[in-house]
Amino acid sequence: MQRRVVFPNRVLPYVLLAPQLAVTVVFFLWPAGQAMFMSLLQQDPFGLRVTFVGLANFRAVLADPDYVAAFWRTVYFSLAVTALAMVPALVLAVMADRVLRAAAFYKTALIVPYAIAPAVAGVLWLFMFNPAIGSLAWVLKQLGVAWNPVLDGTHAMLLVILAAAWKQVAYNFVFFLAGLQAIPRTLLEAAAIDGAGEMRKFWTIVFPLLSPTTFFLLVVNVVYAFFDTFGVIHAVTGGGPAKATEILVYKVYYDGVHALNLGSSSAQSVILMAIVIALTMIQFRYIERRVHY
Amino acid sequence: MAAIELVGVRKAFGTVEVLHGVDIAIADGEFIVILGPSGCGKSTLLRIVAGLEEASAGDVVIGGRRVNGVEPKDRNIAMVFQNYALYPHMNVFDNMAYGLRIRGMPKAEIERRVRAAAEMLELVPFLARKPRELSGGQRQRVAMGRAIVREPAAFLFDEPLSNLDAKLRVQTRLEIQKLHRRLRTTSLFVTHDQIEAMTLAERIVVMNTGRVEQIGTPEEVYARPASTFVAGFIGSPPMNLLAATVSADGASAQLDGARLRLPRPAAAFAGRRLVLGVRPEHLRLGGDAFEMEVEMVEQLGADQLVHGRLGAHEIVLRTGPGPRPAPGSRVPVGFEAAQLHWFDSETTRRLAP
Repeated sequence: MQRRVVFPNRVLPYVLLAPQLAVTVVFFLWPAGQAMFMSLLQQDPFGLRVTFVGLANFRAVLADPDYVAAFWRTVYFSLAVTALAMVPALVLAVMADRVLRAAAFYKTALIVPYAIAPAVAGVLWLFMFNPAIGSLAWVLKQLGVAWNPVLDGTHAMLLVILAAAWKQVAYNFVFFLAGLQAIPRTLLEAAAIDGAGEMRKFWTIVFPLLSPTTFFLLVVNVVYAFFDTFGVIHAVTGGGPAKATEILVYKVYYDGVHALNLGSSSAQSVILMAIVIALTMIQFRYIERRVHY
Repeated sequence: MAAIELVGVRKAFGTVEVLHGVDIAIADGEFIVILGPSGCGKSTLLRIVAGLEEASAGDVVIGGRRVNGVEPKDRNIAMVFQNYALYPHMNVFDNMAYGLRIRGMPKAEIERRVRAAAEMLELVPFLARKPRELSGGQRQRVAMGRAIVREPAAFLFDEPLSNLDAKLRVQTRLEIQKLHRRLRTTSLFVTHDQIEAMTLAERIVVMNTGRVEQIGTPEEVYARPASTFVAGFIGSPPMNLLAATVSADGASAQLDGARLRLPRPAAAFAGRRLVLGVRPEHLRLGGDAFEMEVEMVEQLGADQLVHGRLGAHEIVLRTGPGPRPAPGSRVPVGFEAAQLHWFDSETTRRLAP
């Protein structure tokens, strides 16, 4: 069945699309174009002269050991955030799906973190784990852990991973719960009659049927960890100590705004854009094929 | 294989009781159909036998063992669901083998059983396909195959034919019958379709609002309905049911706005208020029981259904092909005394014969 709306007026569709198009142009196409343009230029420190340098900025960035280190740090960070955001979300969704009493309360409570701004979430974790005043930092110290994310790069990394993942758990939870509720009850009943226990039901029926949701979330979470964790990092560690938590998106900001190396920063943001486009294309490919089960 | 016994089974959801004490004894190898309108509790009853619901009171006994509180997987039963409940991510072979693998059966034996079932159900060419690549009828057969390979003590069918089109339904009905003759596995089949019930059942359990109205062979249920509900539910079109008061001499009955002459005087019921029942196919044009005002005639080819009025009552009469009574005309109608059913007007239970 064709469900296309046909407008009698030829202008109306464009008018209706205009706000969205304006947003896209002003906030994406224009800055993205500007970044691409600037990635081919080099500016002097006072912004008085620009020189066209071709792909020199890209060559410099890719040859820079700091950049390569930041790239691998980002991969590590995003895999950790994705795993830590998805596994607990799935566990919570499976449990919430079974709750009979006060189900709405649990579901709402588990969704709330999603509504918290990234910077606020970051500050929350910063306070809890602050070596001087943090309550959880105190607990860690009582347990004999020399906890200090301000000085120790590994600790700092752990902290931003926790803060970034925590926020995303709520988002994943919503999708997993919806995915679970879309599985017909009779399938689980048929499996129960066939003799499957709870664990086997989960691994042989539920988990395979959730795979479209899982794949979708995998891509979304990697993209989130790559690009949307700026606020968390900025609030918690500012990329430090000694660049231990400087991921690519933060490096773009630091090199451009603080180090004022606009050419390099632009080249980095163009590379990031290429990565996000690649990830999105993988996802579109998959969703278009609609390989449900 | 096993006998199944339900003793005083009750079920309440919250404060609403949907089963008010059901007793059924099913012999080993018997094919029982539970028939009733939607909401009568028949599916709930089946799910209690399967162990998917827990009875609020009463016992379920399968093969001599009381199974209250026993998990579905330990009841040795197999179930065919209305929507088939095939595992969408597994092919036909794996769908059928799933239960066997879980039970740790040797590979060769699984292979043998699935092959045998697939041959019996003509599913061999489809073993490698996913459920979504099958037609409705094929899916239905896979669902049955999944039940068969388990070689369970009993099959439970939850309206397995209602998602099929009319032609396929008739075909599958016959296949289920053949299958049962071959395997002789105790079967419990839930449906709201009286034709399925009549054709498949060795005994029918007619249910209404959480109670068993009658248990009997298809012939008994048709010829001697135990209540006005059964009388009205079995048979198409349903039995004509007329509230009446028998005259003092027992020779006639006073209806609402009309009088009916009884073919045989019923002295035993003289002066009593009760419900008379006659099936449309037992009424005949001509005779002296009453005169019916014809309102409409439905031509079915082999038969015609004459709809009309007798006083305030609506009457349906089934007759063979022949001259078509004109709407608006009055026609004399008669019937045999043996074809008249008597029901108590208070309890709605059968009185005689």
